[in-house]
Amino acid sequence: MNRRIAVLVLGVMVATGATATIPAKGLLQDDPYGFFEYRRNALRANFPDVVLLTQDNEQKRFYDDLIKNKVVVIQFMFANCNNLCPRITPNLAKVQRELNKLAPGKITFLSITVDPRHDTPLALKEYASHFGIQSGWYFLTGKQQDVDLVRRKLGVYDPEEQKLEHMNVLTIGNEAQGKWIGMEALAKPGDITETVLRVLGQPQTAQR
Amino acid sequence: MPTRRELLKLGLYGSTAMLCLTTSKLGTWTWALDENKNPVDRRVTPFQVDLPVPAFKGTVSPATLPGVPLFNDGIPTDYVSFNVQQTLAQILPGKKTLIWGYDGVSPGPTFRARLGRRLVARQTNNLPVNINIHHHGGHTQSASDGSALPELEIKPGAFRDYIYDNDDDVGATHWYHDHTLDVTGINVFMGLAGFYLLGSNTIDALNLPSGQFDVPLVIQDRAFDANNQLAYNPFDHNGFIGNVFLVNGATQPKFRVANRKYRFRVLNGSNARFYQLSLSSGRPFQIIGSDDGLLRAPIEADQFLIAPAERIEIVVDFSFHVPGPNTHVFLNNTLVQTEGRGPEGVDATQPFPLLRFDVLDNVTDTSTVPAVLETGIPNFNRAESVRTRQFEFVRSQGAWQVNGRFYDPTRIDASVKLNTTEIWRLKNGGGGWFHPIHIHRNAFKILDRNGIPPKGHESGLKDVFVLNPGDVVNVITKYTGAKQLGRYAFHCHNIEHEDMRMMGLFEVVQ
Repeated sequence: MNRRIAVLVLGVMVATGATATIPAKGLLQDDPYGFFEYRRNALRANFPDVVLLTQDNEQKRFYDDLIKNKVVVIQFMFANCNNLCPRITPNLAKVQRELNKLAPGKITFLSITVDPRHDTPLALKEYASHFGIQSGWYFLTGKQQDVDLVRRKLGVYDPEEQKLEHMNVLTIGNEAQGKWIGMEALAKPGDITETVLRVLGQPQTAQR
Repeated sequence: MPTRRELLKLGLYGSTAMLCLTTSKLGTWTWALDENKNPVDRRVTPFQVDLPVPAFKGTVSPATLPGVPLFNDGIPTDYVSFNVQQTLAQILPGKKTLIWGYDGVSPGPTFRARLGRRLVARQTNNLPVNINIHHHGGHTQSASDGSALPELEIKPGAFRDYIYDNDDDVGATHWYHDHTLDVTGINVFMGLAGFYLLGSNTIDALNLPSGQFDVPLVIQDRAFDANNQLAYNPFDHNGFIGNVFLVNGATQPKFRVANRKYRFRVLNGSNARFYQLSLSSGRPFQIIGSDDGLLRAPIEADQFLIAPAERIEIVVDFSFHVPGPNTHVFLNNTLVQTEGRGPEGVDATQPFPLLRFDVLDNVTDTSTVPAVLETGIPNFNRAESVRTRQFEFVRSQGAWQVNGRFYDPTRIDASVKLNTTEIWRLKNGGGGWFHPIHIHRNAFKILDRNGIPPKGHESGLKDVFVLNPGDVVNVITKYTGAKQLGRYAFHCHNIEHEDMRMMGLFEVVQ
């Protein structure tokens, strides 16, 4: 609904006195101050446009190809991890299957290795093959400095900590709205699914 | 989509913005605190603006609120109506700042509530995001408490009627603020907070400084980008630390006072910053209240630590000063904190003035600070406790847990029987992190902090408990109130920790 129509509808509602104190929906979705756009631009510097390689050995730019205008779930892992990653990936695979039912094709999953020296595209493809993942999920490697830069910009890099640390924080975002939240990766799949849908703007939870 | 003209009008669009879309070399669009922390923002010149005092919210007839709940149980009921909306506020010199505010102001209008009088607040959400409003400190029904439950959220364009019974034990300085799951940090940062003052006959009879001499002060740290817009970094999960200091929404304001006593209700409304507050005069003042009411007796002090979400009430007597244009007293912060982990320590050699009192007026003061203040503080009895529960707050792999688990809005972590007394043992799980823990619904007494009885304002009624590294704090309360059944949150009030789900749910059952 464009603004003019929304104002018109509101005017009619006021005139009939039905719900005079309740503004029309749609008027707000227009975001009159441009908050979402502003926040999105302000956060742009947090997404370095480094080149990463997918499990299919395709080159992707981190911002232009993987983040821009997308709703994404970003997770950091490495293929030889025998700590949390082997639990996180199947957990996220359940989330992906559920999301593909509720919001088909709308969510992009990014699993970025923190150990790019060992995790070649082939190694990531082999790792990914165990979990029954669906399309729209990229396992990514690249230069160590580029991966570290991405982690630092997303606030999931702490030089004091061990390789295994921060492994279970998901970064969930709606780039077009500049809405980003952090969440633990081992939460229940249903909880993660609902959170992603909230970030997307399609929550399933009953709301007023 | 907004038109380019609308954005231009707001200064949210323009050459800088356009340039930054193609290059980020300017640095003007990086978040102020992302990597280069600047302790001082040069745009702020202290003591240029007068301290704003938030206005009391006026009541309306329920007839103006279609569908609002009506009551015929004999309990007097007042009605208020808020419009939660975006506005442009003059915070820094030059361009205005987009804020989110209850009635479009921050801090929002002050609730004037009364013990024994019900208050119904209609909150209409005109923001482009969901909101959820917590009455912090209130003995509130679950459906009106605003715990971080998705089903309590108000969608854009919708409203919710909150019922506040005000059947607490004593009057107190509460506040209200956003509590939306996962995004409370940015929502509060954008301005969604205000005072909720619960008065009582007992307090009125004390003859404390009142009216214009009873002033709420909320202290908040913020950061602004080069375009004067609020700069929140959603990728900093350790706790937001800003470099601009607001008192009641104004940057380091000045406040004209008379040579008499003032009651200040100090609220730390910051997301993650602690403060150590003192007066530049070095003179002592009286601490008269804590989170959930006045103390039994005033305590003389010359400084105090205040953690996020804590309220500490003080009476400052300016009668020792000769009024005049050069008579200034500063409210100083001496605590150093550069990251969300917690404060690094007091540096008394570098006091930072948050507020300047200008002692100008000569008046007679008839107010008093009696030796006995609140006589209605409940005496929770350790022997009556039916259960001791332990909750350990710990950082785990970049996120935040309670007893090894993350918050799940569908899981109950503790089930408490109505009218029973329990002791909760709150434990800091380590790592050098500070956690100010807030428990909803009830006012508590601290039994001990690391085995030592509470001192100072901590001897009063509390709902925020600072866990310094290594601390164990035992707190006690009785879960009274048959109206207040159902689910309530308890969590770390470092809001970024809360958003990373350092939170649990308890329920009160029959």
